[in-house]
Amino acid sequence: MLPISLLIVVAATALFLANVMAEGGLPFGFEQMIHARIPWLVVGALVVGCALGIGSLLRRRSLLRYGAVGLELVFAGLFVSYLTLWSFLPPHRLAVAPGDPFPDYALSDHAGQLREYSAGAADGPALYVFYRGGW
Amino acid sequence: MTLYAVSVDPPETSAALRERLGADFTFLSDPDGTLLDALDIRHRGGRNDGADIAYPAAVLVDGQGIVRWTHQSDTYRERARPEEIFAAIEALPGAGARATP
Repeated sequence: MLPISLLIVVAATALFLANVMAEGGLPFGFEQMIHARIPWLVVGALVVGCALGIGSLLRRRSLLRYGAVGLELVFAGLFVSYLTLWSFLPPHRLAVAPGDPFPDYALSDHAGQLREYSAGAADGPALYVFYRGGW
Repeated sequence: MTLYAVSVDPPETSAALRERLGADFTFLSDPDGTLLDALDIRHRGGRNDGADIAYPAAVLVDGQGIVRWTHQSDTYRERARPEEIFAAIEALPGAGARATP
């Protein structure tokens, strides 16, 4: 049971990370896994994997098995905490909703050119994507 | 349809990112967070070094400057999906064929 438990934990993590790196482009992609607010498939697999590990430990104990299940719990605990807590943002809400005018601005573009926008001077629809910065 | 990517990064950083991504859309720099404040999406101390950055968000504005669709999340892992965005563009008044990617 312990090898199965370890396999589930490793496979769930690997599948998640592979999907993140391939940006959801994998054929076995479970795209909603990385785009979901909480990827329950991964969280669930980690919890089940750990439960199996603890179950196997209760049946037969040894130093090695304690070590393996302990490592598994620490790793899965950190990963689940990241997915359900640490990657969450403080409460915030966009000041505009559908039907509101978009605010005026005067900002530099990537070439250093000033881009000005004011209500009424709009020229065609636009999509603004706010991101956290280059890395 | 114009696509703007907005961050607090200075133009040079945006230009480097744009180059690296091979992107052909426009990046806007909001180092003082004026637009972020107008939209209430300044994440104070949100960057590792304690600087303010943007909360991830997407806002679709029609040709008259009216907001038609928005996307926000309470986790930085979750972003608007392409099909969601295209559907919002298709739904713009008089969008029609313009929305094809």
